[in-house]
Amino acid sequence: MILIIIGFLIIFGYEWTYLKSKKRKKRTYWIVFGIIGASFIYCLSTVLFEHMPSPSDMIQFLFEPIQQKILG
Amino acid sequence: MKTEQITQNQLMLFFILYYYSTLVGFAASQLIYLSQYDSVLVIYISGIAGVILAYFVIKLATRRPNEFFVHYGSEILPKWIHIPIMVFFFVSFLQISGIILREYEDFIVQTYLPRTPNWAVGCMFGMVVAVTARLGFENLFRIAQGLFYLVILGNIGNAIFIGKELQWDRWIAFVTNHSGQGIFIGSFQTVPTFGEVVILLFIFPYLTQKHKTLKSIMWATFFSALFIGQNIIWLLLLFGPNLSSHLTYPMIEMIRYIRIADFIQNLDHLLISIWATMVFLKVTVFFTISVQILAHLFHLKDHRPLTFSLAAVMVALSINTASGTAELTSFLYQAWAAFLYFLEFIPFLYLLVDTIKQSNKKNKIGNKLKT
Repeated sequence: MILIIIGFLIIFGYEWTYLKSKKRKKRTYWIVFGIIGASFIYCLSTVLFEHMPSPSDMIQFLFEPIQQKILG
Repeated sequence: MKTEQITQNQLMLFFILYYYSTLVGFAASQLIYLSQYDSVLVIYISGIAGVILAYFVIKLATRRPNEFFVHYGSEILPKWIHIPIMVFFFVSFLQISGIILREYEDFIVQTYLPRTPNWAVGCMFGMVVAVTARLGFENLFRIAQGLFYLVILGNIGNAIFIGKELQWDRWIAFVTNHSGQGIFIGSFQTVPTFGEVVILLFIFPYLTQKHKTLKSIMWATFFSALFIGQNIIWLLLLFGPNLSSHLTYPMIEMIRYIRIADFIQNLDHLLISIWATMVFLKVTVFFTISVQILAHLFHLKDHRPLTFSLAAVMVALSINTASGTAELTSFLYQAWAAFLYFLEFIPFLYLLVDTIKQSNKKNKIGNKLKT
């Protein structure tokens, strides 16, 4: 967990410098940091909740019955 | 955003590696289990299906050759349908890159780095992927162009040195042993891998000499099917269908058979490191496309500031996908193909709606001219 926090702090700092050097609009800052925040929450929750459902569970739930019907 | 940077030669060489990487490395065992001696036939059927899909994808893309699909898609379908579809593509491509990364993590952990946690391998790999994605498509395709010759040299070397170990009396089984059911199930599972040509829709504005794209894809499919087929034949002649299908990674076992003049042994590290670069290319292209889709959805100037955070998500997805290799294999066998079919048939919907809209427009103009 500490590694994730440190990693995301580095990412935050790096992207901040990048956006500042490119003189991007405030809107871009909001979007980029919003996505970094969402990514941070997802990464953290995969560590905190080991059995958290993933997109692959959703894929299995939706497509397994279809595939079984096709293959018989 | 700079476009028209990828040459047709780079595209062709990239697609050869793109198909070759995972089919030979991860899917060979399952393919042989399903189709036995018909595996080579299945590869060619899947290649043809891939080219047919590529034809339709290119047909859709050439109608607006210099525009990005994320942008012009809303002209074809209403925005409230197009945007959720693009979000679906974004999540799917990120998930695909996560799944391939997970397969690679499991492989490395099981064969070379036992007791190393998956996240450590994932983080190292993810960082390289993020840096390459940040550099953009042009560099990715240049890397593929450079690596291609190395990969082919490795493949030819492998084929020659394994040659003397093969049991050639098994070859007759390729003529006599056929099963319709095996061909059907094998093709069903393998066609989506060649159907991954759907990424063309997203990289089309970057291509030069766009009219030659289908030809490049056809050559790429031909050569990759040739290389994959050769490897599958070698596996079947070396181990037979039963042993090949019960080994997790039959390719590495085959490479370990190489003994050159009794003093060069354990060449597997060298050949696996060459093969790993192909996996890296495939993961990176899916990842870069997903990041680009998100950047286009938000109308950002470039995708760079999103790469590192999304690479972290990709690594998290790779770990969160399954609790172990057995669960991952069963997921890939039971649901993955149907999901990929669904994903790869979305461009057909766009093409159909666009064709109907265009013919309606033509009819209206024709009617106006008559009146």
